[in-house]
Amino acid sequence: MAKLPKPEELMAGRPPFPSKGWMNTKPEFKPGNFCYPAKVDIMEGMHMPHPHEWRPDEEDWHLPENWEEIIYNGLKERLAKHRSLKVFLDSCVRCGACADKCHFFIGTNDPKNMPVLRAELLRSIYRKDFTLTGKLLGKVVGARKLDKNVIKEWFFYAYQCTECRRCSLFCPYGIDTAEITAIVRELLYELGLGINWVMEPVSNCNRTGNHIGLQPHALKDIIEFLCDDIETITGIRINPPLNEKGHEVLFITPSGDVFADPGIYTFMGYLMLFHEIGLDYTLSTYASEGGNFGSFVSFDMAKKLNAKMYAEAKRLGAKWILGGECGHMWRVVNQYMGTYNGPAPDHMITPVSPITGTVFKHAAATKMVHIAEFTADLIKHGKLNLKPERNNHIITTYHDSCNPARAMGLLEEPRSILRAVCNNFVEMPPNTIREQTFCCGSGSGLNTEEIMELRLRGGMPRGNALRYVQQKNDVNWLTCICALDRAVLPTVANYWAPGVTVSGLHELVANALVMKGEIPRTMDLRQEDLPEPDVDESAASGEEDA
Amino acid sequence: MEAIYAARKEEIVQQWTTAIFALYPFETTGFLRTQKDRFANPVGHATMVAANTLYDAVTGRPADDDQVRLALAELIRIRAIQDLTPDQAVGALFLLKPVMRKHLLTDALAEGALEEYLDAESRVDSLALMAFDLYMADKEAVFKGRVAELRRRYSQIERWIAAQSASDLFPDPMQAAGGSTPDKP
Repeated sequence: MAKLPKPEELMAGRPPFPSKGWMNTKPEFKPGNFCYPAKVDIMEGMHMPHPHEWRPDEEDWHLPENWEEIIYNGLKERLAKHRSLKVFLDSCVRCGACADKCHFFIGTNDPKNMPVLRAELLRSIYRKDFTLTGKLLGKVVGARKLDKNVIKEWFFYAYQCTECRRCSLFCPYGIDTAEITAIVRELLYELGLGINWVMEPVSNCNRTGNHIGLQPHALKDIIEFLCDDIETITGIRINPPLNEKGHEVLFITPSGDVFADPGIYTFMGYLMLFHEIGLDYTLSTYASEGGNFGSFVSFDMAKKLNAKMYAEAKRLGAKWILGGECGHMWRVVNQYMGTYNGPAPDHMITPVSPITGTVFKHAAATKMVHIAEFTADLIKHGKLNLKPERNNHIITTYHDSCNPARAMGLLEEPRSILRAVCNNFVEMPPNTIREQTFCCGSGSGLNTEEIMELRLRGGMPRGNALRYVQQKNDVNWLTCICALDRAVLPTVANYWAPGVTVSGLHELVANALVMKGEIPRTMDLRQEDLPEPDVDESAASGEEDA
Repeated sequence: MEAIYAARKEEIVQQWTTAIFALYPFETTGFLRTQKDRFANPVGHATMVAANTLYDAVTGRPADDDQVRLALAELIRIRAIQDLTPDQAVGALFLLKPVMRKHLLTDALAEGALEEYLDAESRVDSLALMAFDLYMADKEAVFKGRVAELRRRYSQIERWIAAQSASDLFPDPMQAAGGSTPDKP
């Protein structure tokens, strides 16, 4: 009988040198480290290839019989279609500049989460099947044969990448690992392997226009609830137009802003701002989703879901589109929309702010303006009456949401707004913000609760930087401009920096906004008491610091 | 003994953290040990800070309770959600003991300070008990976080359903909304 082991023996660290290389180390699927598979009826409803029942933690994934052929043809087709993919697969010299830049690597310390190695999971197959040296020399040049374990490995690691593109910032060749992840996910979908947290919103969005599948009457009711709340806070009744034709602007925002905390406060902020400046706009119940979970499935699916934006602008006759605070919505709009569904309908014009006359020339192609650009312009021209003192109890920092920051360079506008509406704004350390911002850890369809601990690992670098400014500068607030952030950063903050509240930018704008005819404000948008309530009866439309 | 504890600190802390980092995959260990930027390598940083503070506490240097607890909490908060078994998460502390024995026990015996040395080892056990509390609290925070997130996610849907039920128009409001409840396998 063996003796009871000592602690250092019990914990059994790895051997000093591993007996097998990364190609032969297989991921272990256990509850909590994988997303649930997409339901068969949803896959069928969306006409996805090979819908079938399967479980990641079971040995047999019931792949279609000709699965190798499907992958080979799928990769071949994509290599021909996307020159970028071929360049990305060919040009990596494995210098390792990206290796320690991924939030999932930093949080999990799993070597296969180094972007270079994650990409190598696909690259090794590409080498074997599509390069001469790989065909001839095999493992010597990093090529390996496709087998079912490779497919499992793809699934495991393609869903530990949030497509945030921080790694690509550091790559001397500009390799975009997010696009490699996107292609791997596409290939997996070709085999009928998808996740439900992505496919169900895609299906809902396709049928009813938004992720949760809210039909128009429910959406309308909920917006009215939020208008009730605005009336309670400001004494002003707003009746936002829905599906009305003939307005100048169509406003599209992620649906999470309508039904989820704390996004609803940001949505209330939009409505209050539009009311105050008298914007001629309409909401749409069909284009009631700015987010595009299709972009986490395939380029084709992203195109399909994105199409409703122009379709609705055309139907309603809107001249341009104003978009809310969202993350990947803006990556799709800024980088892909023109190719997917452009050119914009003929009647649409290059967006012009009806209040300031500013022409948003950068949006000449898409006809879509980000609300942070729109509001920053209003503030710059002194068109808003603001009382930043109402946010005096808030010491905020700003989280650059990955996609607006890295995919469209939206860095200064949110900051200029924040400085105008809040007197206490502190930046997080330089290597965690702006282009180098750390992802929330739950983007690209990973914001599902079954992988909560995995998400907290991915969110560790962001949480760590947040905790630093919390301890150093007493930061108690985190502002962001992404609906996914608003959904998941409260969880990240509660774990890594308990006591920090998360909100969208326009919640703070609306807190500070002095509206014509409003009652003295005693509470903020969350209906919590303002530490310094407004004095005197009516806040008349005076010209204050703007 | 105090002088010996201080003189051996650097070496002991280094070997202890090396043993902790060895619980991670081979390809990652070097990164954890060498990347000094606290934002680029939070795991390595928290481990190093904790090891330094906890060594002082174990060897009986007067320690600020809050600071010890904080250093330990930062370490355990990370280890509680990493892909580690509970014994690996908390047991990293016990990896200090063999290192201490190697570097301190002989000298302690020569100095006739065995009892003092054993007290130091016992303090490792105290840290482990504290770590167990912290670990459980962290796990609880994860569970609560999961529930809180679900509630936030559907806050206005709940409000809408409550309003529908109150109006008695729809026997099954969720169905009436056409919405799908999150239904997982």
